[in-house]
Amino acid sequence: MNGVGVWGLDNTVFWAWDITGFVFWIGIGHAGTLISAILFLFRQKWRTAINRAAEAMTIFAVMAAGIYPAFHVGRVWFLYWVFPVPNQMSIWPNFKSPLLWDVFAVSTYATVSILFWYVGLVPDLATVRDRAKTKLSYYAYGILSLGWRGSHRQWLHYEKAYMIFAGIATPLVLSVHTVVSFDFATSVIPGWHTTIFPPYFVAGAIFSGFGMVITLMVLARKILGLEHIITKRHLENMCKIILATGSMVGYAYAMEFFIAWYSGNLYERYAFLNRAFGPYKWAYWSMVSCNVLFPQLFWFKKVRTSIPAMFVLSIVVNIGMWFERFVIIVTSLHRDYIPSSWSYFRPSIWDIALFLGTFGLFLTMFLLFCKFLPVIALGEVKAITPPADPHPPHDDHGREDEAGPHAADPDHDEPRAAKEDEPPDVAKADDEGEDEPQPKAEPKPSAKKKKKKGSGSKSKKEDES
Amino acid sequence: MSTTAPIVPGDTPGTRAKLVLGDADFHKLSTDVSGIIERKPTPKYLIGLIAAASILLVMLGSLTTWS
Repeated sequence: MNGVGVWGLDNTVFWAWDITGFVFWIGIGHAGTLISAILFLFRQKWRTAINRAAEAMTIFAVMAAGIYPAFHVGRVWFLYWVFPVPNQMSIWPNFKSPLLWDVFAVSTYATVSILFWYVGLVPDLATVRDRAKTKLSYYAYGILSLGWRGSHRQWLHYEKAYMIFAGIATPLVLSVHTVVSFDFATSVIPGWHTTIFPPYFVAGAIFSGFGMVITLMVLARKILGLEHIITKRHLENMCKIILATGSMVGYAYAMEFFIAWYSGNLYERYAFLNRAFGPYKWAYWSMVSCNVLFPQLFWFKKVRTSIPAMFVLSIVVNIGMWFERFVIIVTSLHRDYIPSSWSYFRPSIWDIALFLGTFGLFLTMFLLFCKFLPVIALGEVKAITPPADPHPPHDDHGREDEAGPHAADPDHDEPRAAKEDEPPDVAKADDEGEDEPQPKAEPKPSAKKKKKKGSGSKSKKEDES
Repeated sequence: MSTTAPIVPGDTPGTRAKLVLGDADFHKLSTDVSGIIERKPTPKYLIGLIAAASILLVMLGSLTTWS
């Protein structure tokens, strides 16, 4: 047996581990773009320590996903036929097929993700270049950093470009998995033909993506000694996102069942009963446990702040999300409209080897990335540290990242804008009805430090924006 | 109103833990991150890389078996 014939597919289950692996890896990639683009636009400072690694993870996950369609076409050397390029055999892609939409969605996603990642890397590559100890690394990082000198003009262009990429990438976070869900939703197969698929797939993708980011970040911060930059606060925030998206996924599972019952369609009802109580019930209940039940543990702060607990749960989430795709695909196919063609899919050793191999590719690429490229977005992390703050915290007011003396005082949350332009003592005097304004308070010693002019330091003032 | 209870950043509602712990000096941050590239890989890293590459070989081996 040759080609894809070595996989465990048959006439009934014509898609199984291949498309499961494809959707799994595309989903994993979603967290990177979400952290880079959407959290950037929402000015979430905590993203800065994890965005670089998450973006890299996105690219490697898309690479791993790309292996499946490449092999699935049978003759890999004709893979370029999936693109609408002229060829002598007049075989044109079918523009009505969601599989072609996938080609456009995934290739656009990969291109934008790579460009976004690279643009963000440029200042940090220059930092590595400036610190290079060998000629080879000096020239290699010098070429990659595109002549970056850290001038004001360069930072201006850089920040504009970064903002534009964030704007372009944001709709992609939603569109890619929406299009992937169309592979199923536009068909007439019970269990697939449902309008809830696009949001359900997007929520699931972000869910699994953050699961993988936690898995990688927990390992990376330990192995690379970055515990002071990738802190528990970062990990806890990601746990909260997992909790939110996991609950969305749980809601989608419930809605699928409800709509199957409410539709009155016998085939639809059977497809879902078969999922929960049929031959693949073990896969279904594994999916529900891993994706809905276990993530509820993140309601507890002790779990959200326990590194071993979140590491285990992040792996559980990814196992669950793989099962979700397997359940959707295989349980909907293995019992079709003709009972005589019903079958039970079992993966062959080659299915398993290929899936394991994609993990090998993903992890190898990620580890090489950790060794040869800056794993933290230095410029962005520096921009959120006190030395980069043009308005450093003083003793009287709590700040977002510093617990001030009034942080726990509920009365201290009075409108600040009204008194912003006058010193505190004057405001007090006005309240007491005194005629003579009090002398302006002595300015307190500032913690502001002069910014370094090194190529890696970023002059962004996120607070102001 | 004020409270005399000690405030632990990150544990009290309304306060958040610092995003970068310790002395967040620009030079130290550059050294910490660029140092990963500059110094020799640690044994833990090498073990991880060898394990990952071995799993990748499983896939490459399966491809050669097909033909």
